[in-house]
Amino acid sequence: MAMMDEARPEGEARGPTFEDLTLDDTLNDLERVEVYGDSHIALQRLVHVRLLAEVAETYGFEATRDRLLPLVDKRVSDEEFVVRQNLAEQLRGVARMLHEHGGDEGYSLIVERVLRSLARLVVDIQPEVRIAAGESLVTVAAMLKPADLGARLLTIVVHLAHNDEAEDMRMTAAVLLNELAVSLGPELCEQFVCSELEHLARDPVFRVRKATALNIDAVCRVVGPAVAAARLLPSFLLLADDDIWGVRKACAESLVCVSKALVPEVRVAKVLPLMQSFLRDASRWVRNSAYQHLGPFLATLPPAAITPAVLAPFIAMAPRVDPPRGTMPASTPPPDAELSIFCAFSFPAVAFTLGGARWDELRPLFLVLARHPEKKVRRPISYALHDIARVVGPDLTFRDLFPVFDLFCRDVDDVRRGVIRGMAPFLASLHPADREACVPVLRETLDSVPARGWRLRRLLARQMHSLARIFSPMMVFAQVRPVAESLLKDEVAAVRNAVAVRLAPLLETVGAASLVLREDIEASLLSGATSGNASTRLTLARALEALAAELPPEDFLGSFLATLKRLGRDPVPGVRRRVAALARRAAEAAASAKAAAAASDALKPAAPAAGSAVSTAGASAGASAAAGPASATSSPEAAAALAVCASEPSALGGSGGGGGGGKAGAIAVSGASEATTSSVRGADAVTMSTDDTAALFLIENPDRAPPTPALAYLADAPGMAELLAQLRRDADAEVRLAAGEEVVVGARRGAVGSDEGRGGPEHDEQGAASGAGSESMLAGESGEAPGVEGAPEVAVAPAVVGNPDDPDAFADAAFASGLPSSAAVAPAVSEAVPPIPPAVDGSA
Amino acid sequence: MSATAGALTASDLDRQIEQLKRCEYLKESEVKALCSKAREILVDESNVQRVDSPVTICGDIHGQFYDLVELFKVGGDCPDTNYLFLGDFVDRGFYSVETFLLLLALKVRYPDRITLIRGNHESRQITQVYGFYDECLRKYGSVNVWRYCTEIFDYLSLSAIIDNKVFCVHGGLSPSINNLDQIHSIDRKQEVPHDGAMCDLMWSDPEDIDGWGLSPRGAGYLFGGDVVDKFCSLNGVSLICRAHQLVMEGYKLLFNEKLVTVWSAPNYCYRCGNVAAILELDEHLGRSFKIFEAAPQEARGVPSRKPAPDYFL
Repeated sequence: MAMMDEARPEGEARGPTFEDLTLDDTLNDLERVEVYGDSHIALQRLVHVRLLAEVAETYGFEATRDRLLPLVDKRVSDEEFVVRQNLAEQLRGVARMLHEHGGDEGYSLIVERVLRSLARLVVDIQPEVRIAAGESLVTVAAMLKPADLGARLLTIVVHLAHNDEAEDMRMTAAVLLNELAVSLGPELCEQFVCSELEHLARDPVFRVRKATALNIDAVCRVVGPAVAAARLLPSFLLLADDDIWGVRKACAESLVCVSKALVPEVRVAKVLPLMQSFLRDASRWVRNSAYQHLGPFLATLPPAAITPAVLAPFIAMAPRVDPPRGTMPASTPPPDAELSIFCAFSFPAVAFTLGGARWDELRPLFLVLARHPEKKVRRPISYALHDIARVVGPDLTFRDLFPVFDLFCRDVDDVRRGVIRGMAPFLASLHPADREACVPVLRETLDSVPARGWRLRRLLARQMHSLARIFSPMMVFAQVRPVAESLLKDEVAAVRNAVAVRLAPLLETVGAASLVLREDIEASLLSGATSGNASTRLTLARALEALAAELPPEDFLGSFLATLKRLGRDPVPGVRRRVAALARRAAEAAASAKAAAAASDALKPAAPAAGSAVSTAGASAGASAAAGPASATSSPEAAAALAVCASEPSALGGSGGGGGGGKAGAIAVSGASEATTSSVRGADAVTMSTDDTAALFLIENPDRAPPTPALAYLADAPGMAELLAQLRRDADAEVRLAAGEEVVVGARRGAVGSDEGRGGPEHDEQGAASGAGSESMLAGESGEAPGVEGAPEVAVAPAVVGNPDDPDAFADAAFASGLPSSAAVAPAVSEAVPPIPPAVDGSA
Repeated sequence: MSATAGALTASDLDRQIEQLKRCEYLKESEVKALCSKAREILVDESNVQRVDSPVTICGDIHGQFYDLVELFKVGGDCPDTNYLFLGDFVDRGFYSVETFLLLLALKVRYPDRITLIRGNHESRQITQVYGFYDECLRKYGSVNVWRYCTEIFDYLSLSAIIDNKVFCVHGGLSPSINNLDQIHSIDRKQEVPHDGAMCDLMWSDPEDIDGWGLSPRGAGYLFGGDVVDKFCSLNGVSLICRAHQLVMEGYKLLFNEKLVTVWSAPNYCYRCGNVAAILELDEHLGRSFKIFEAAPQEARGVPSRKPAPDYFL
């Protein structure tokens, strides 16, 4: 490795040397934070300050007190603001540790040390630091005793509010008073914060008044509607009449939140006129902001107050736009499109507030928005269509919404993603007869999705549970089933997996009407077991995992047990591994069911832990569907008890109704999932009307088997114990691990690779030919060699080098550039390139 | 590398894998332990690692972490799917650390379900130029992690053979190598040399020429269809599968479908506009290419952050 030695620096490196940047990795994390958190290299201080909270948590109270807090004190005045900013963020976690594990001493350290540090950081010259410190202050406030809130916390902020020298500090005070309102509580807010805000609202500097207008809403909420109307509303009205448009605009922005903190009568009497005056404001910025918040504001009013005259400006936000002619460049949206987007965004809330009875007033607007040439206007309508359907009811949904739904299904991806995502709930809100007529839309939608639009197909797959419950058995058999089967064969694994775990309702709905048709579905599903393609069998194994948990035991055992066992002997270890995991879960469910039964026997008179879990679980399974078994699986005892409850034979629900029965619990997969919220609930909480709807609304679930624990029966099924035992002895280590055998991580299936045929070395044959290449490798490397920065910025964007046509060719050419000049470049190399570490043992 | 790994349990690894899947990198001390464990596994692997079908073959990733997550969505999670990665895990993308550590953690957790072979970017020299070194420094404030990782690079296998029929390598063939035994005889535990068989395997490219040619890259060679034919018949191989070159369509078959380039970094460098591909070989070595695009913006964010609402209700 001679060339590596050539690259070593000659001792005149600028900034830190390679040795400086090599940390002593024999230190534990606490020692590292102590040592390198105080490094002369800013980057090292930053990296180790970021570990503060985690290290505090790991090493406990005394280490935090004796070894970390001294570092905190030093870093509060770090010369790099990024370090201070990260310190401010970390202090939350440090305080939490002191709070939870430090007892009285920990508490006094929070008050004396952490608050003191935050008090300094919250007035930092750098806004990022102030913001981070403010957020930490809010967290720490929740740990303080009531007596200290006023004396220790509020005083910090009041001090800022009265800083007549620096307006920045008074602005920070306005922000903090609002953010801390909840922690301070109604009494302190009423007694002190209101008067501070009254003061700040009359500040001579308009930026302070603006900050006050933007930061009054939480205080309004905390003090309650009466005090808010008496003490804070007058100041707000004053700000709303400010000469500076920026202050009025700020008022328009916080109008909705302020309105919500007041009683409806005051909203109508005082805030509505304010909104109306903003809509006519002399400043375009104020008007624009007012329009932006008009919809959400209307949603805070009682419907009776929304007269046609009050509604008119909202409707006027989206004038009819004729579709663009062929000659028009389709580049930027027309200038008024922005208001139309705001209008569409809040249309669902306004429709919800007005209710189905007043749909006629909104219908023309709805059609304008739904057919708007700008996709950003159509998009929110598409996402909300199922919610609007719920508001207007089945008749109007069919008449007015379905044609739009149909259009959206064929719209650009960004728009149709919305309707596809809400497909099942939308269809569910139609009359059953209309719904049946609409079912072909499923297949049409699926067929129109391009091969790479797999996320759209996954959205459909994730609704298979619901879709199989809202149509008649015949329709499910004829229309839903082929869609499900297409999705099972999808080329993208995420789509296959999403549908594989949602097949039980398909079988149940069809089976309720015809055993023959159900068997037909089962047969085609099971034909996957003999497929020559392992990924088909793997998908089937996943489907069986879910079916085992969702179907009544006798149904699963009767139809699927033989195939499950067959897959347990599959030639491909990945398939066996899934069966192994299922068999193990079943065995564990059975074991904990037995344990729970024993425990509840033992604890019958006074049943504290396990007993109550059992009764809760039993109650929820027996009671209504929505919350069902899915949510109760966190405790093993409850899960086990539930397994017993849920696996008792229960009547099959009808196709669409499905309420009441224990079965329905299976649909309600609990909602912890990626990005489930698609709407903000601004107005009062929307309550789902029926359990069925509630289930339908949980359309986005993680792609794992529903966590129904009703697997205990499977462990006792004939042959399962033997299968599990066999899988525990499998030739494949991962199969054994999944089956429950304790396997050492990294263990292999035995000897791998073959070195038996090592032949004589022949690589001299042409090896010498690339001498030039070797030089060029060195020379090219120096071309873009990284310098080691002294105090690097944190967010150094990695340079993207290369030619867009073929960056690799470009880069690798750069790498090989300057063929003969290695000698000339070499000295430069030694400065810029960090020294190469010694080769590991084994290299020549 | 003297210290042996502490007790790294399956649940530790599962936790680390979950963490890495959220694009959160591990602590330096965890990287050290992980690399130490990985070394124990990799040291036993052959220069021509045997892999059983079915297996999914992936080309260059280059630190495009979210696109790697997309790849797993399309191809299936490891260990459900058996994977073979053809190298170039690091450099250029923003997340080389997370990308390599995720693959390495999967390797340690499921050693028989994922095979990693070495690409030309798995090198001390190259990573100092193309990003991995800087990224390590930026994320850890030290060069330690870079050192642990580059030491592991030396242990990565050079090639793989699937069911004795499909030969897989990062770059291509070498004029110094006629048969697989000659690969076996390489002492691979070293930095990528500037020339010779080991270098060629990682640097060479196929080209529409007869025989061998000089590579414009300055390392490795160009090799033609006749070279591929000869290699295949001599070694009983039906397909050579390699990566190393950007292909706008994600994959490209050459030489009567005896050689294929697989490229798995969509929209390479976040600007090339190419699609990516993986090659699924079923248990009868039937080929199926899966094409995928870069992960959409919403799949690139911090998942814990509350998503922007789609409408107001």
